[in-house]
Amino acid sequence: MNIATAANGHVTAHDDHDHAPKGMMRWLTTTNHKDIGSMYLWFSFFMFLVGGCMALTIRSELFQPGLQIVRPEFFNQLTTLHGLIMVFGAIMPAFVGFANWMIPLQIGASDMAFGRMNNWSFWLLPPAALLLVASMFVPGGAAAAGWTLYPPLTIQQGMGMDMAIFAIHILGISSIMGSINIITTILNLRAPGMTLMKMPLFCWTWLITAYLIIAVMPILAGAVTMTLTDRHFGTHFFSAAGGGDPVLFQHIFWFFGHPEVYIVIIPGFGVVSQVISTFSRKPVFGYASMVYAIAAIGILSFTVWAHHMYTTGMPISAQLYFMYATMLIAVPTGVKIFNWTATMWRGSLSFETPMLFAIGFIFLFTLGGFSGLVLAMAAVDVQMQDTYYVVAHFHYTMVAGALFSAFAGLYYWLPKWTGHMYNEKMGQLHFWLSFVFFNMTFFVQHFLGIAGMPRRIPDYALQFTEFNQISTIGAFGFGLSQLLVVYNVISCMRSGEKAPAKPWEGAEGLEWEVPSPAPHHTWEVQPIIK
Amino acid sequence: MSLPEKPPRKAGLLMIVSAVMASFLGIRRRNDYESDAASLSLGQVVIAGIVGGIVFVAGVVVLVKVVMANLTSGN
Ligand code: HEM
Ligand SMILES: [Cu+2]
Repeated sequence: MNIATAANGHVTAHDDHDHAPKGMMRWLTTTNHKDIGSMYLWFSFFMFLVGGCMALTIRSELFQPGLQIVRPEFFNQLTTLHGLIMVFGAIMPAFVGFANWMIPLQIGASDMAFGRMNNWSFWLLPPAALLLVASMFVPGGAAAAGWTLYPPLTIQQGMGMDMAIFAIHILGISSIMGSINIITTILNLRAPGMTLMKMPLFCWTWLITAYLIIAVMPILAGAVTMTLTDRHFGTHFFSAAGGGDPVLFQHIFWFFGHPEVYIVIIPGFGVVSQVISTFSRKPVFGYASMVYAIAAIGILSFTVWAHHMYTTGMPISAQLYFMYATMLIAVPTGVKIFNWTATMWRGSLSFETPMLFAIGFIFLFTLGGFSGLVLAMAAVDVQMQDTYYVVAHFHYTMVAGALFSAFAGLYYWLPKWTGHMYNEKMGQLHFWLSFVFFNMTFFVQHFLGIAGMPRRIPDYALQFTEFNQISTIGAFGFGLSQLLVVYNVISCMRSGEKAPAKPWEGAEGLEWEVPSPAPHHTWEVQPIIK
Repeated sequence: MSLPEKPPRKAGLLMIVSAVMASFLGIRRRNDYESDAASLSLGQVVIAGIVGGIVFVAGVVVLVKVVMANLTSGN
């Protein structure tokens, strides 16, 4: 792709001329996509640390068989909140933060389409997070039914469950508004000449993700609302005692849930594509194929949900259907791995931190895809369902997949956001420590799962001890390694070397044509793309 | 891109179908997509994609039917 801009339209000199309020009011009232993007990113990183502390408590309890550190009830609250916070409070907002910062810059728009709605989307998040965290301190404690919120547990638990339901409603509204903003911005505010098929892949992946979010968040909202009315208003949607059906919940949840896992990963595909292309100094191999494949995944991801429910009970023919369909839609996902590899093929590669995370992503996400295929086989899954094998699978896709791609994007665009370079050595150290400790934590969980260790249980049989100890040590190593990125980002902002407008030799795209740090207002005059 | 501007042709059914099938596989040749980009509208693609999804589901259901028939007739 060859983007040439005519006379650059950005304004540098008279930067902050809108008499915006100062201090806290600036952040409360801002409609600027960069401010809001930064708030999303800080928020999600904070939630990542909160969810991480919960994970470390879980792993501490699992260091030895028997109960040492937490009560079983609290253990279940921790697994539930960890899941909810990481998915809805860390990963999803992180990518919305990337979207806010980068989409207007990449398509040559001066801001997001709906500035005030954007502000509201963000400010809904802290109350939701507060609800989730505060629910640990109410009578009965937080929701403890697992992030999948299956009845009948959800119908029986205390007010912590109501708080979780309310939090999910708020988070859902926030994501939907964010998506409306992203879609409108991409469809209506592109610079003249920036056709859809010239857009950077990050914009494409977000366009498709945003549609998915609008399609499925209401489904989740419906499911938890039905749970709420079952709890308080005398309905019996999911209660067998009243003629309802708990299995119905599972169907609704996973009809949301499987597209949701793609919501989590697809923006990461976009980031990784751009990073791989930059550090291979070649355009993305098969740009069109990527767009087509991601669009196809957007549609087909609605057709495979019950691969999460093989053990719930269904006819053999249904098991076969979900097994075949799941395996078939792994094909467009697999093709992308080839595209990234082919992008690197004969490129002139260099291995700065973003590239390391992107390559780590390809490598480990592929493993996660393979364990997914193993689980997709109904006959195998009846052994593995609800064991640590599943835990290993989804951490390979969500941590080594989504989180690593977020780190790739963070290091890649940090110079553009802050105007300073991060410390490259420390970034690489962060990658290698994360890579090693990630595998130490989660690879052994495949073995635990195959050997039959169930998930979401605070105690285990003696023969699982060694692998659990390895996993716990790995988890602490992984958690501590994340302090490096905190330090690196803060010292980059304070005192990093000055970054040029385009710090990466092979980078392409409009975002590199504005100075670093990107001024408060960019593309007030839209660039013309030839 | 400096391709000579062709007048966009109107997309035939075959072309839409081949674009959707290519997307399900995840592979599209550059020339093909450039002509897609020139002649397919977003609305067409979305509708064709949803229809394609339905056809995909129906196809897998038929496959399951065939397999099940063979399973039960075999013993
Ligand atoms: C090749 C692609 C994939 C296949 C074939 C696949 C298949 C599966 C299957 C069959 C299960 C159910 C296992 C069980 O409960 O027994 C599962 C669980 C899960 N997968 Fe995947 N998956 C794939 C990709 C992904 C991706 C990209 C993500 C997220 C980024 C993801 C996240 C999850 C999660 C979170 C669960 C567990 C949900 C839970 O029970 O709490 N998967 N996957
Ligand atoms: Cu799934």
